[in-house]
Amino acid sequence: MTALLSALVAWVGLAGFTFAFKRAVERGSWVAAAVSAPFAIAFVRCAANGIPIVWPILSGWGWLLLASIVGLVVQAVASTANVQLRRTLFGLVSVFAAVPAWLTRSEDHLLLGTVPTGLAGPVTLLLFVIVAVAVSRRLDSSAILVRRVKRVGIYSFLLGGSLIFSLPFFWLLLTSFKEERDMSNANGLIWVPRVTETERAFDPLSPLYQIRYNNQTVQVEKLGREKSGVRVTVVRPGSLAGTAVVVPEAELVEVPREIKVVEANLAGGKVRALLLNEDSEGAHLRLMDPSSRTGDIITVGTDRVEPIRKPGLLWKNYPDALDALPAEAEYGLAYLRNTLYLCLMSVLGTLVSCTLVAYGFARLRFPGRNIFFGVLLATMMMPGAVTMLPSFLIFRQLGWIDSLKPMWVPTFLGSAFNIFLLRQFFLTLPVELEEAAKIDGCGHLRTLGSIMVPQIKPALVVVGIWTFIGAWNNFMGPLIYVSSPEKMTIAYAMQLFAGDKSTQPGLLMAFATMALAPVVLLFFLAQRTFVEGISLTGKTG
Amino acid sequence: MVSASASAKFAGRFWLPPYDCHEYPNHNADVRNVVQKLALSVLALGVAAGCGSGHNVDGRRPLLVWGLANDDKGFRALADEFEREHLNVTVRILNMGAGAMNPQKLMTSIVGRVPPDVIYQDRFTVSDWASRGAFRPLDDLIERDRKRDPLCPTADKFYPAAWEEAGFEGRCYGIPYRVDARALFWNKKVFREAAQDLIAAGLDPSRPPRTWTELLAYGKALTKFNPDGTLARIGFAPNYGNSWLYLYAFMTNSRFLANRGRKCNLNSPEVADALAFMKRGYDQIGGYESAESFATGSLGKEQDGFISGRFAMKIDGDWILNDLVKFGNDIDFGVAPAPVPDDRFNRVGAYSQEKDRYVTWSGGMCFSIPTGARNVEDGWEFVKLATSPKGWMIEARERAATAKMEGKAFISLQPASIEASREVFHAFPPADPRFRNAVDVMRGLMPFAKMRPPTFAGQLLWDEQVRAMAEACSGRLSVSAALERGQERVQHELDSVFNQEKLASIEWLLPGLGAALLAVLVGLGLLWIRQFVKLKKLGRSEAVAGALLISPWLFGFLTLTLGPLAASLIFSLTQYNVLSPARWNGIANYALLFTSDGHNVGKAFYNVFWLAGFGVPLGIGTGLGIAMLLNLTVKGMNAFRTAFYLPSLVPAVASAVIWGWILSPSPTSGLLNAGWSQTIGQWFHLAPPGWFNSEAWAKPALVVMGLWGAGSGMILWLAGLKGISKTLYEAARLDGANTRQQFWNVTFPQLSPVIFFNVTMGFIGALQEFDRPYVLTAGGGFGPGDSLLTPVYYLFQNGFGYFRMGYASALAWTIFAVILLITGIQFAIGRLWVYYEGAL
Repeated sequence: MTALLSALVAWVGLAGFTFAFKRAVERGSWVAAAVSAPFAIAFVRCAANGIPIVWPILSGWGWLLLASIVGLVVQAVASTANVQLRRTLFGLVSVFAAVPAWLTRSEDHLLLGTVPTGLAGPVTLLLFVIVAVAVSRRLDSSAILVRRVKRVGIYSFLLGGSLIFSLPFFWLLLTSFKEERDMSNANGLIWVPRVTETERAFDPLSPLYQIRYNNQTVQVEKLGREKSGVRVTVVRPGSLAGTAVVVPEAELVEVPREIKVVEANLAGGKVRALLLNEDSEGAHLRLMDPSSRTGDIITVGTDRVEPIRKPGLLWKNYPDALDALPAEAEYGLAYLRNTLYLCLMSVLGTLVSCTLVAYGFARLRFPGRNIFFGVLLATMMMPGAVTMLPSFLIFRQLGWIDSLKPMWVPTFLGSAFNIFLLRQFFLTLPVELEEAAKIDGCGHLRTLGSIMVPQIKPALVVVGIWTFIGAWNNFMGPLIYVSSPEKMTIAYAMQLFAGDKSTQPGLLMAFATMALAPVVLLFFLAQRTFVEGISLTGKTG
Repeated sequence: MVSASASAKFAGRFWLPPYDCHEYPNHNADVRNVVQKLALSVLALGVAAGCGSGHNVDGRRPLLVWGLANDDKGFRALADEFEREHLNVTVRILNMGAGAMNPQKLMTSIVGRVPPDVIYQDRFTVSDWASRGAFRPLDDLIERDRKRDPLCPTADKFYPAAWEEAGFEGRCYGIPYRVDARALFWNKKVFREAAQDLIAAGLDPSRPPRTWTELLAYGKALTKFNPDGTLARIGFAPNYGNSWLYLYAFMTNSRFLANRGRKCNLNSPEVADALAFMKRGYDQIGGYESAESFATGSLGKEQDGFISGRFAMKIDGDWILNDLVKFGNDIDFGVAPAPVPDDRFNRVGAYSQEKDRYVTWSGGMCFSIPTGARNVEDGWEFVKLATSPKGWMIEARERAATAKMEGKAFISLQPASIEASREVFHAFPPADPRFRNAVDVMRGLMPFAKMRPPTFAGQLLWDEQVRAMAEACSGRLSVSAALERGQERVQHELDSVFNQEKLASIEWLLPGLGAALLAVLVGLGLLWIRQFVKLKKLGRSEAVAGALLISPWLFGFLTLTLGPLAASLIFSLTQYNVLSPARWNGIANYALLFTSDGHNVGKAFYNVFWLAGFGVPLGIGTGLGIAMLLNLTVKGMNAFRTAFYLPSLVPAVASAVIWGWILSPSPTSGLLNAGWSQTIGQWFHLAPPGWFNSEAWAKPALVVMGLWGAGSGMILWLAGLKGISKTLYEAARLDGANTRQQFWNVTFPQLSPVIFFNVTMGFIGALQEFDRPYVLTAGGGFGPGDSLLTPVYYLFQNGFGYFRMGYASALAWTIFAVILLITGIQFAIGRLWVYYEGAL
């Protein structure tokens, strides 16, 4: 039977190729030529390897072949002028419209070829043909439909593209809400994150305490007894974790801890229990039911314990990511502060200096102006790498290493790009208003401040936003100049965090999400300006 | 693509003639006003600069220690103990950004005069640092405290080789902290399971191999392939674990340096024997590349290849015992001395006089004090405590307690102090016989330990042996050619440093540059004044105002562009490491670019040309495609624009982090490869690519990443598309042009200036690629097979990693020249296809 099928497929492949190729030659159409290629491949594969492409378990080649057959039949039928036949086919379409949906409802993916056997296969094939024929006939006859189909096509492109472009963001968010054990899964990726159920309870085996240490409340565990009190080790916050302190017994206040809820498979059936800890003896559990044994502490083999997990988002990655930062980072606040400081100073510096300089170049006449402007244009071509090393030495001489100054102070000296851009804007403004202002006795700066700046506000906003984003994303600057954690910016801290926590994607992605959020927020707030930026640049294009 | 955001704002006007000057009105200059405002802004600048630093609130002296893992409880306990003994000191342990493995950060901080007080550093690099004057010699402190402080470290208290490794030219620059040893780990369970195969090959499944021949035989017998020819298990991969070329070369009695460190022997026959052995080891398991991707297929310690039985044997260091204890009884393994060459084992031939049958290679860490540390006294006290038996016991107690809390056994690392070693292993002997045996083997190997030679070129020698190993084992180069190439580079470095005394030093370099700059300034001023006096009164006031207005830029141009430009040109002709005066070197740096370093430089440029060649056209195609879609008028366009545009705002660092995760090579965790193995993998039986873990796919991965940001040019594309007159399309339609013809005959020529601009800027950006490769390689190495080596990254590494300012400057100018050349070529070609309206 399979041999027969194989032969059949090979034959269809050959015939299809011949037919499609003939058409291609006749019409000079590359579409037809492209259609013919899979036929040839299918034929060669079937004939040479003798691999029967047996429905329903299809290989990729099988699917290509199937698609080609469909295309071919559609072409053939569509070119018949028989209206009656077309109507019949169209009727059939509506009848079988629900069938593909029914077919794909099974868990296995249709495209992977595990469609149920039996009638379903041929029926699907038929259905494809019918739908395609119907669409193709209608396209021929109705201009409105053509437009609609085009629109559907455009939307599907836009939607598909948007989905692809948003997928990394989605994956970033999803990963940041996943538990460690869901990060990698041999049976396909996890799309619905699950969280292990926990309950706040006192832990009789290794109790958790709260103490005051260095003016903050920290959670500790007992290590042992000493003459002066109890020796404890800090568990939280993460920046102090591992610090050992000796405190008087009286200062310890026991607090509940988050304990995992598990399902234990005991002799008498499954019961819910709190998982106190696991060691070489097994899992130590505190039973939650049945009521007669609630609170009992038992030890069972670890293989009989399964955590109870429900779909949900693990928000804990976010505080944990901040917790894992060094103490100097103040849970990332220091990074945010530094970054904002850098961004704001850069924006201020760029706007002030570039406006002044651009105005000077655009409206004032002075000796050497054209030469200077030419030099300014030339500097735009220069790679930053050339001045990188000497600049470092200059800032070193100024004692600015390990500070943010090397990154923002130069913005007060203007940047060639922005000067150029603003100058071009100034040039598009009419001179009449200025002249009126001059006649009224305004100085250059007054004219600039009260007449010119309001007119180029949109350009200034665009420059400001670009500078802000540029400063926010600046990585090489902090990499070269900053080394203390209290002076780091987000971009650089993220690189270090990535190096440090490369094995904990949950934390890493949570950190990345937090680092991206402000820029995304800024974009949505200033979206109109961005769009205006389009029209601004468009006006002169 | 990198400068795409910048390019977008600039490009809107790019194809405008820049000098469309207006008629200039006459103004009444308000110079005073300008000066006032400028002064104000300068004042604001100063005030803003004032705020910033300021820590250490509680009045205690901070002691800054870099390089220690801040989540290591042992070090934390040590710091606590130190603070208890020194109440007015607060210890700040910091490893983020200052890890021992990030020399660039340390060097920058030392050169920038803000170094840490103590640095925890890999010992073999100490002489490297010391030779450049970056570390403080500790001999005076040792002499001072020798008598009065029992904790004081002296040579006799440490393993001699470890002490020696931390010295340079007879002085001590670091106090050894721990030592390690490497040995053969063999998975007994796998040996039992494969007993039949081993016996069939004439091997004894109950013992590990002892010689190289045996090692290869065992490795071959234990290697299993899947039916489809992919690896299922590797018996032995020479560099899986931690052996590198060094260990095998030590076994053949190679000396990497001779003649008191002046001669590099990387190409000696002994080293070649060792490397040839490694190559044989890889060849018999299907090649280096497939073994590497097999090894990276298992990520993280939880899925360690040896523990999971994917590797039957490996040579690794004693530190991994701490990972193995976590798995308790799940793993049955043995530890034995690493197999040695047959002749050495049998003591015949070249080894007939050899005393030591086995050898190991030992490395380890030490504590040093950087030059210019502000708190040397406290730092020294900390170093003394940390390296002493007392300090080790504090740490061991804490680590043991932590291990107990985590429910696993505690295995201490090996202290470099002999007494500490005795005390720690006496107090905390491993209970488990497997681990006791392992520790005994490792400690027993210490007397036969060899160390890397102390040399200022230690890091370079390391990098080159890694490179030679990869090149030779993968078969890209022959063993001798690979070694020869490394040899040449190391020898060049040795020669240049040993010969630098002969070069004339130029102390006047920086003052001279300053003076020259000043002269330029004065000259310009004079020229300007000459023009100025020709003006009439009104014109003069306008000229003064104009000059003042552009003065911030002019000042910035002179100090931050022209000055540095000249400086870097002069640097490129010198040898300059910042800490000592520059020395005149002529064109030697440029010559180096084309001679012994030519391979790396060539590879770097090859990589960026590859990225530009594929990335720029693809990026432009995608960007244009998106823009044409977004240029349509359909509902909800703003949402679509956002979706396409947002990725281009993502910082390169974040993008690298996200994509590093999406492109994880494992189909069980990487998004793309999971999709791949479900579709393409199943249909066509193609294994998913290794992306950033494989040499062939690292650059395509970067291109894929870049495509995600293709929306960055959207503003520009849309502006260009909107600028095309509708009448042109109407005319085309009337002439019967279909969509395709309309695109090629109307859209494309009309857009060609934008396309040209994007190509040019895309190339300039791609040639300067830095952020993403840096983040993806975590600042260490240049990716598999140097596939992520870019010129700017190489420049950065040379400039800030090794502070070879001269060579780095020569590189910078080369990059500059290449960019100019490429841009020039593009302008020349552009003339053929770019259509400017109005031009004929």
